[in-house]
This record gives sequence, C-alpha cells and structure tokens, in this order.
Amino acid sequence: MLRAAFAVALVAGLTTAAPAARAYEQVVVHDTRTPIGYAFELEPHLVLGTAPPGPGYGSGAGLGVRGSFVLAPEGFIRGLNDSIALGVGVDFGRYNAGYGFGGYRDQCLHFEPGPAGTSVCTEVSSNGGTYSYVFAPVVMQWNFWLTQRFSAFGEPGVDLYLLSGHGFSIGPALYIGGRFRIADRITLTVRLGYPTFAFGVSFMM
Amino acid sequence: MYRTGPALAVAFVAALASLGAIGCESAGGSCAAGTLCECHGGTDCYQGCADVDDCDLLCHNMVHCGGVCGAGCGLECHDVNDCSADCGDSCNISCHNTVSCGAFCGANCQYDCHDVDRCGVRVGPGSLVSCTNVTTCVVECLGTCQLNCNNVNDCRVTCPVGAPALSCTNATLACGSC
Repeated sequence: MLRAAFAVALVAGLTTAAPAARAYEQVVVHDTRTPIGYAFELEPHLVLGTAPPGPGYGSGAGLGVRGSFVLAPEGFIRGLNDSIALGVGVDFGRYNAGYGFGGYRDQCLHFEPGPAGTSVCTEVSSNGGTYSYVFAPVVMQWNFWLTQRFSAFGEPGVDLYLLSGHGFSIGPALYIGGRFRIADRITLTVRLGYPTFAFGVSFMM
Repeated sequence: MYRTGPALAVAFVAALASLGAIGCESAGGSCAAGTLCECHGGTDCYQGCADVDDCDLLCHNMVHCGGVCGAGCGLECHDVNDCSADCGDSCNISCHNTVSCGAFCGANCQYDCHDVDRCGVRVGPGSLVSCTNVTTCVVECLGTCQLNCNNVNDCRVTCPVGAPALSCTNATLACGSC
C-alpha cells in the first residue's frame, strides 16, 4: 500500500514538474514495456556531496560509476511502466571542511606516546582538514518510465564507505533521480540524495 | 538528437579531466595568534595555531582534546578524559580535572597539572612542572628542570643521560640544580 502511494506521488510529482515533456512526448507510463530495452545500465558520473557521513566535514567533489542490473522489467505495479534494478557503484569524493555549510573542528592527524602512558597529539588539521571518501552504494533502483525521453527513479539502500585514515563504515543511502534520453541507448542522468549528488551519462546495454 | 552523443561524451571526459585534487593537507591548525580559541562540548577537539606562535587555546567538557602550538602559547584543558599539549618554547600549560594529561613542551615551559589521575610531561631546559592531587606524575626533563609534587602518589623525574635527579626541599625534584 505504501509502495503504491509512494509510486503514485512520485509519478504525479515528476509529471507535474515536466509539463513540456508531457505535452510533446508520448506518455508511456501506462505501457507494459520500457521504451529502452536493456539488462544493464552503466553510468559514469561526476559526484558532489556535502556533510559526509562519519568524522569528515565539508563539501566535496569527485568521480564515480554506477552499474544497475535489471531484476524485474515489469516492476512492482501492474498497469504502470515501472521496473526494478539492483544498483551497485563506486564513488570517490575529496571533501574540504572549508567548503562546508556547517561548522567544523580540526582533528588530530598524528599521535605520539608520551610519558606515563599518555598520548600526545603532535599534528592537527588546518581549517577543518580535507577528507578522501570512497563510497560503495548498494541500492534498489525503482524506475518509472514516464515518456519516451524521460524516466525517474528512487533508490533506497546502504552505502559502505571508506574514509582515509578512519577505515570502513556503513550508512544509509537514499536517492531520487531522473534520466533524459539523448540517443537511442544513452541518457543524461541526474541523481540527488544522500550522501552524494551525481550527474552523468547512462549507457543502456 | 542522436548526434549529440559523441559531443556530450567529449564534454563529459573533458569535465572529468579538469577535475583535479581539491586543496591539500596542512597541519597548521586554525587558531589565530592573540585570540582565545575555545572548544567545548562534543567528543573530540584538537586545535592548532595557524600563526604557529603566541596562540591561546582552551578546551573543556568533552572526551578528548588537545592543542598544538609553537612558542609563547597558552594552553588550558579541563574536565575531559584525555588532554594533550604539544608546544614550543616558553609555553604556559594548565591541565586539570581530567583522567590523563600528556604534553611535549620546549624550553622554559611552565606546566601545571592538578586533580588528575596521570600526568606525563616531557619538557625542555629551564622548565617548571607542578603536580597537585595527582596519582602518577612523570616528567622527562631534557635539560635543567624542577618538578614540584603536592599530594602525589607516584612522583618521578628523569634527567638527561648521566645527570642524577635531585631531591630538593618542599617536595621538589630537579634536574641540574635545586
């Protein structure tokens, strides 16, 4: 029930937000087959992010790639042109605390053992420091094929991430995005969410 | 529509290529000389002096904190679990009401440690260290120094190789002379 309500709300919002596309494009959201037949989507992209998970601060940019394997071409909802894919990816982002929207604290970069079993910090970051993240998102990609050119998707999942100097951790991932078809099997793809934003090109194979 | 693909691919690759590293690591800290830089609350805070010398660093009421500074700095730390200080010459450091205080300090350092479980300090020549209401107070002197212990269970000083630690009056230990 919730899934259906979410789908209806998402479709309604997206179609309302794209009146031009709806006016001039053939609406396919009620078809049973996607306008692009594919089993795998390869999407290299630019990555932007702010307020990263873990001990890092600031905003950053980087590169990444996402691969999405179509698991259910017919999707969850009968009579609606949706499909389900499993998305996995790798994103690298370099964050700088000075570019953040919130505050930051410097962090100790190096400790040395002191007398009496103490530990003494001998080097700290500057202006909040810089942080290198490698994200590995694993998401369920729920696609809605709205017109011949335009599709939208939601992506709940998890994000494994490696922060340089701090090791691995895991956090939630949640994205919404859209694709604009520019060639037979090529789309511009935008993804908004947490922990990153992405802008890239999808190749449907 | 279909001819935009190659052009877009070129633009995309160019954008990727132009994306270089953003910033670089620095270890200078962010505090400006002549102003009090205070840090409190939360779990960790480590401050440094962007101007190297003459900073005034304060941290309190958290878990781990510390300061890194050059010469002529003032560092205070209280009501934390672990406090560390790394300072150059002529620093004035106070650490109190903590579990542990650790410090490296240069010449002519004045270090005050009170109401602490463990104080461990390495100081340069001409330094004065005071431990009060401390379980363990260990000082490594790299030259002449004096250590005053008051209500300390384990009060120790180590002197430079070959120099004996002197026991002076008023519960003071020293390297060099009393």
